[in-house]
Amino acid sequence: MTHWTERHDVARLLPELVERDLSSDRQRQLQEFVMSEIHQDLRAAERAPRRAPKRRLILAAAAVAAVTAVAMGAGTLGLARDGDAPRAGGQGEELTPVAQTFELAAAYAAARPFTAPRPDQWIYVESRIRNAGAVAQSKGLEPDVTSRTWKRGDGKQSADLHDGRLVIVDGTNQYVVPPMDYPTLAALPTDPRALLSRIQEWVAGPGTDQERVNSASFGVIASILRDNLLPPTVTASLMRAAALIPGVTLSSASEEVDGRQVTVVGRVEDGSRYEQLLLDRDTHAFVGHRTVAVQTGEAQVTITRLAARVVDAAGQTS
Amino acid sequence: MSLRARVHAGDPDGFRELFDEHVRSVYNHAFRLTGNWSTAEDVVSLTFLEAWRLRDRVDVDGGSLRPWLLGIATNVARNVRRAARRHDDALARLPKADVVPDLAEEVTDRADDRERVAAALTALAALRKPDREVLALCVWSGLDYAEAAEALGVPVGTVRSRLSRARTKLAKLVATGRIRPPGFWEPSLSHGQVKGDRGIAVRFAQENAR
Repeated sequence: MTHWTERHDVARLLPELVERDLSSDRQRQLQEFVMSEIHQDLRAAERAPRRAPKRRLILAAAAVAAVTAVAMGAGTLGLARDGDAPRAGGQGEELTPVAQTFELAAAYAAARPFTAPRPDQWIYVESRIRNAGAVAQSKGLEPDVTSRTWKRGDGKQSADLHDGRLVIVDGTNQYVVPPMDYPTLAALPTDPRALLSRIQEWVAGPGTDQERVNSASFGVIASILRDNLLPPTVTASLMRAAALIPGVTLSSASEEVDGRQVTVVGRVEDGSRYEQLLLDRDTHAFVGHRTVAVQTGEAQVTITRLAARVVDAAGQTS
Repeated sequence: MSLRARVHAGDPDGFRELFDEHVRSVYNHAFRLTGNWSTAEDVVSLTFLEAWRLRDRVDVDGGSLRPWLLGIATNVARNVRRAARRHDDALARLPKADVVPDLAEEVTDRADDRERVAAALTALAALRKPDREVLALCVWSGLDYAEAAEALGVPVGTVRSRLSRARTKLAKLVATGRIRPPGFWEPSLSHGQVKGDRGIAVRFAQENAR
């Protein structure tokens, strides 16, 4: 047929081209950027009743200012720029400061380079743990300790250092709920709602009241973030899932902890403890986890991440 | 649920899958239209953002979404700035690529490949934009006339006449020695190696056009 010949004739004038791929890190970065914009659009649509169903993709000026500030390396998490008029057509809702903070943390996490551990490699996490106050003393807890823990890529063993001795433990400890082995955590849903549902299934049975579910879910997310190094898409999803839990507040936009400027988001549990996530104020990288007594404002336990990486054997730190 | 149905329904995981499946196609098509890998990255992001914005229009019945995405990418590539403005300066929020280029990619660029790319871009630059777009879709992206028509939102006859015009123009370039004669680029035994996972020779229209 003539039209096929035409195409063939043109093709003969032109070289075959080797196709390129984006590097896997860059491809993931672009993908996470697109997914982040999609999720923000979905959240904005949830807050506002549908007025223009086909023209919803828009981010509020506040979110633009905040994320642009991060992209430019600026320090402050600003809200709406002065003089920003609402968009024509009444589209868009502002993300709350908490939601913005988690979104920035998710975006940062998603962009980290990451190579998954082989099954026989280990994930090493090093943290500084500071126990303060009378309660810690009464329990005989050391005030300032460096924790070094390892988890095997296949989940079959874990290890830590006790008094300088490496202790390796067999078994995934399948009775632990929630499961904390690398393969299970690395396979968590990348959709934040699905991930939150999974966590809620872990922490609650039928009839558990919603506040306890929320409280336990936030605690689980905090401990997963604190004790693990996970694929960037999962870490990003954990941050977004945390944003979905009611009762999380921004308690400090900028505070110094362990020599780092951090933003503090957290949730009051049992009316008495503030469970907090510490995020780098500028990059929104995960820095640590802190428990503060509501009544006294005193930090009881502060855990900050010192290192996290894949290593070839338990006991190795690089 | 089919991918089309999930895209239409606005399922975020569907969009994640859509991205994985078609990012290479979009990226390379964008390069052919813009001549610049960095701009091609921007086109990739904006294409998928536009796809999200236009998801309601996707028919739940139908084949691959590739023609639809390449059509969007073609639109975006026409004017990257205008597309960026529509998305609230989304590009300002896009994480910047590392300043140091990925060395692994540089190593696999052989002189032969660079010559081919230069020749392709020379040919494309000589054409009017509508003809260039059709050429890129039909020759390197492997779309047939109906798919290219769907991608561009024009009648099949328009695709054929643009391709015909492109052929006439390219023939003139051959006559003036600006591009190689027909058959020059026929794959020879000495080339066409697959370089790991970095490059896969595109079996172009020669094999498909019958």
